[in-house]
Amino acid sequence: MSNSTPAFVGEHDVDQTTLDIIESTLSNTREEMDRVVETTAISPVIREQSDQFPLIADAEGRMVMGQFGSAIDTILENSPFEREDLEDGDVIATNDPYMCAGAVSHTPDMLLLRPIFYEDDLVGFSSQWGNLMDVGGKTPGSMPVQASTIFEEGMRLPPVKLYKQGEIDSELLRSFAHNTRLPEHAEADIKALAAGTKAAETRVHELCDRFGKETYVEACDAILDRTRDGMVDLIHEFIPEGERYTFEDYVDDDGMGNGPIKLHLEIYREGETVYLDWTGTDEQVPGTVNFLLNEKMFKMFTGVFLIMAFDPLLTFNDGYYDLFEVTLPEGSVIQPEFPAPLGNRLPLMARQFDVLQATFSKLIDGFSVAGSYGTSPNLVYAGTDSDGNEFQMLEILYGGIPARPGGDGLDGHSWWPLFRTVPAEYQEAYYPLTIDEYSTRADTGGAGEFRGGHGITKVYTFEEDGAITFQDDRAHTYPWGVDGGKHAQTSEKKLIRADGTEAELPSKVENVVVAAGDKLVFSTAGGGGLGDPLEREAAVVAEEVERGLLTETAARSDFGVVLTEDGTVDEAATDDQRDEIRANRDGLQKFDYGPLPDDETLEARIADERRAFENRNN
Amino acid sequence: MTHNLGVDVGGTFTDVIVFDETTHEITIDKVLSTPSNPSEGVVHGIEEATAKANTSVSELDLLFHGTTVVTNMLLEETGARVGLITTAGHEDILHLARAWTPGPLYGWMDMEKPDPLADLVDTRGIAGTISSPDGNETESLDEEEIRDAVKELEAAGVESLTVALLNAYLNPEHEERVREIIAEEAPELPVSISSEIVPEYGEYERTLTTVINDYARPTVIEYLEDLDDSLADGDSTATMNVVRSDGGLMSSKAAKERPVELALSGPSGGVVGAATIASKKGVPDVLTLDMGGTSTDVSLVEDGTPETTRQTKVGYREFKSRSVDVNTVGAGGGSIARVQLSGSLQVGPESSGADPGPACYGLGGDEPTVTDANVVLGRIPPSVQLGGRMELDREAAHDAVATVADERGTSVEEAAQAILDIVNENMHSALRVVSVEQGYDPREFGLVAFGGAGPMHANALADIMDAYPLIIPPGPGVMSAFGFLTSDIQNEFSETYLETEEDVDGGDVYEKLRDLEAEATDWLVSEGVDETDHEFEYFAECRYFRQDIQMSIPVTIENLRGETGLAEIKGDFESRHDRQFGFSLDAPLEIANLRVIGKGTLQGVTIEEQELTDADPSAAEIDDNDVYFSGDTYETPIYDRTELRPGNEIDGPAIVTDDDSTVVLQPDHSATIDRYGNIEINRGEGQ
Repeated sequence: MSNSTPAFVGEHDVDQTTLDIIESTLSNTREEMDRVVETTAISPVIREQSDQFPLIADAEGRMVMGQFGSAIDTILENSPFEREDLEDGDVIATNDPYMCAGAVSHTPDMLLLRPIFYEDDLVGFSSQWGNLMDVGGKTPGSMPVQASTIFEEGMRLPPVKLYKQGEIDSELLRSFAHNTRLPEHAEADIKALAAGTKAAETRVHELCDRFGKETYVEACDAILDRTRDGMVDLIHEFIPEGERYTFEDYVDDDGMGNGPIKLHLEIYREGETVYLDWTGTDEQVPGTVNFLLNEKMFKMFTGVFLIMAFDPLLTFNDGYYDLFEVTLPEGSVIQPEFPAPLGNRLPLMARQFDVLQATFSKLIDGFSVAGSYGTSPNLVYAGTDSDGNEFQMLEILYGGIPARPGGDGLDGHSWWPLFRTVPAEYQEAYYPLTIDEYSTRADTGGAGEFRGGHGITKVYTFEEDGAITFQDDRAHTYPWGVDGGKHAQTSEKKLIRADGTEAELPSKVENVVVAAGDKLVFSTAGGGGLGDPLEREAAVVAEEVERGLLTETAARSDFGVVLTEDGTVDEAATDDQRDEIRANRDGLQKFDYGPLPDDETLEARIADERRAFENRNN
Repeated sequence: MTHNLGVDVGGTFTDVIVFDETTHEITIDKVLSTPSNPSEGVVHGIEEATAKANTSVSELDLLFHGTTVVTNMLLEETGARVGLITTAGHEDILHLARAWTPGPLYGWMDMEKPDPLADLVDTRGIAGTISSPDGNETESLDEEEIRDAVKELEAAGVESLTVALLNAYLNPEHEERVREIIAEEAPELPVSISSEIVPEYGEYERTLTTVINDYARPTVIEYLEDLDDSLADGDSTATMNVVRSDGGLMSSKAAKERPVELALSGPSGGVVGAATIASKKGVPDVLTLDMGGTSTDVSLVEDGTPETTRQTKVGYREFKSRSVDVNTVGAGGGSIARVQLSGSLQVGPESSGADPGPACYGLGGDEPTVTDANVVLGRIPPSVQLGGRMELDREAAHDAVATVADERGTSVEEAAQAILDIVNENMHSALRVVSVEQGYDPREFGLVAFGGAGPMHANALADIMDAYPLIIPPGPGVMSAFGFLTSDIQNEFSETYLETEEDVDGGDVYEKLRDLEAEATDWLVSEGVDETDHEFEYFAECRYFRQDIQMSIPVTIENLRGETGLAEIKGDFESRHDRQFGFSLDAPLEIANLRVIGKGTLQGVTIEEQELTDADPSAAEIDDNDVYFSGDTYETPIYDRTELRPGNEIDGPAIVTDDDSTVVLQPDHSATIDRYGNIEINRGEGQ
């Protein structure tokens, strides 16, 4: 069954140039909202890593500008007040994923929503969310690896008014912050987010002053309609009708010994409607990797993928929601039921993107993208230093960007946009540790005509006793290669104790005690390759060997490139080597998943690894 | 010794201004730049312009020189082969580039990431560590390893070397020692160390900035030496001053040491000149608009001083160097208009460039540009020959704009008006970034417009921003060269501080600032500035503890030792934070950096005041033309700017043609020629 055509479709009484101006102003406003938050927040996750997400919606709550879709309806439904109860200067706050249908998907993400009034009429909303350093719960950073309900993941605000008619409810804010490990950070970052939503209000007011309220409101409709039109064209051009395409991939585990966790997606088109069906995806798991996928957000992701692949100038917004029909099975790992824990949803969130792009790689002729490093790995190091001061560091790490149409993947870059690494000099200045190494992991990106990006290795030496909690993935399964490209290498974690003993750690651990002098070697996975590695230009391979990005061994075995003693390509030997590889392989695969054992063996391996780790640490 | 000369080397043209110190007369000249051997064009321009001013190179007193040589080197990646010596374990610092990928989601699919300016092949990690935050040595250098690395890199053919070690901002000893070793092993190679170029935390940006310095150095050294030689051949005894990105000046010798400071040398001149002219007129707060063929630079001037930033961006690379806070947007006369799939009209950032140029150039361009839209609407009258050399192909302009009209279902005039509205809006957005977003209300500012295309669009922009008066200075096409003449010797000295008000008091900050002042004094002396001409400005870069923001708060240094201590700084910071972001925090003040700017004043030019004559401009009227303004066609008089006299008043609509640009005065606005030769535009009565 298809959705009904939305009301904004049709003729719009707004001059085209005015429409262009309003659209570009709203687009700039989105960036301004981010800049305001980045400069005024105090948590490094926000200030150095740009982990915040702005949107501007119309009075109906439909996102006109932004990239993650709006859940304003759901938030209002779950709040104690009606739309009529909203007043100028109010700001609603929530960090409960179950109260906003997963618009924020774990408790550290605080979402602020500001109704925008002009001459006493509601003309829209602005919203901004960002990752707070801590919201309480069982582990510093509030993203426990091992929890059985969301109650262990910290303080949750249901949708409530944090600001009433412009006045902050400081008692509410204080009560919330009091439940976190870093109350000053929480208060400052929440105020910074509110300032971001205020910036949007100011711009919307200016647009109404300049063009009139009616024109502004009409323009919002027209912007939605425009995007919908563009999307209808994209769908017709690139998504074939009739055939059904499916793809399956796994997240390693839930951090409690359960895995692999399967994601299954089927995509097909009927008329103007594209169906995306997640039936066949595994049930929710006991651990915290459950990902409450917001339906609208997933529609948004799908549209953004098509737009970025084929028409990057088209604005993203809620205009095309009726063109996508999504099935999210209740009780599955992407639609878990309250109170399932959600703290560590990043592996599933990332894999959901991988699966989406793989399915599109199947159904769109001549367009393929490989698999990525698989999550947004993060690390928390917390404790009390020798002077009695508490410290808590949270860092996001990066890995190999997959090979992409016409280009190599990037080494150690972020698949999530606009993130940046925290400078080692910042970490060393503010936290008791040293960064001994931050480097590219040669050979870890999948081979291909276009090579996958390599993972990175970061080595920390802890200078105070404390505990570390981290999550990563792709330690058991491989980022796949596509169209003859090879799979990438997996992630690895190693703890080297001050006395020299070494231990491999699983990709997800919680509160592992570390002592001053201990080292952590944190290595992330690469990205998959694209196309036949034997087609890669030999001179480029030689150059990468010289740069230390590939070993000579990998050049020979994976790319069939043989080098002379001075490092240049040995043309004759390379031809021979490539012929030999060609003769001995079984043709090229559409997808290379790597040397995966069967499901049962993998399941046992994951359970054993966890059991062994728990026994060692308890 | 009677003349001063300003020369602005752009990508296409080199502009020269000669100022006669006796008669106060100004001579303007324009010659073609010579990108393959940049000093050649400069010398040619200087010779031609001095001849035009009836003087010679040997008669020059002060030379002011701005150049896009470094900018272009970065954009075109034509700099030197740089070797990088860094801390072992961190060799991939430039390659990993802080992991940044562009927005939106899936932005990585389309990202083009240029290779590092110091290749991994030419990068060496060395042993030796400095701990943080105390700056103590925790592992010593291995000198043999360093010697080997230097020999290897030199043998491989690197042309300059960067030393950038982790935590060197806290303690430069290791970097200094490595530099000594390089001087012993490879004395010919230019070397920069990161603790001198950017003595601040942030290893990626500090390394990048220092590498850029060395990337530019060999070329800049050769270029400036050639220039010195050629001038010496002409018996010049003039003092050469090079214009920095922050609008200040430094000697040719200093420029050879720190060419990274020249990255925005060109655009800064226009802003400094605009600031001087507007202040002289009694309008110290202005926005500036410098619109050229492919892009527009905008900036904000408060109290006669251009806003500066510590972050400079050229292409993909953003680095730590102080520059006039110029926001560049891809909007110029050559910007191409296209209708997108969704029906929206986009203008720029793609540009037709100089060749083929806009359709109206008649050189084979057939895509509609901003200049074509201006031609269609009659705003560039038939009497104007573009660049003084080119006949306009009006029909080609009309045909090109008609393609937009067809797709949008409008008249050609409406399509042309839409193109102008959109390009103006793009410039408006850029102006907002430097004004509204920084907490400034544009209605409290004037607007100074220059560049070849600025005066054509400025009136419409002044209306959108409500920023009046609008000032069009004389010679808007050579504003940068003029601005150079108004610059001062200037450099900044800064240090990472990272202290909160809980840990330090006013006295501590006072001592640090005095130390920096001493450094600034040494530099000014080395630049040949008399002690009596030294001026200092003091700044604390403030934020709430751990924020990322750095608000530059001017410090009255003597007050630091008084009873209030740091309270004055905190008060100023909090009120600015509140004005810009609408909130303040109950958190300690952190001073991230301390800065001292040392200045030595030079008198390059005197702005002449002239007598006002009567209001009637009719003697300058040369023609009239039908001009289209948002929906209506007006019979519009055309004036020759060279014939307008101070005191003349003009009612809009009108077009004023000049040697290097065309001024559009909209209906319901009026213009006067002020006593400095500026055209001042205001809204008419009833507006």
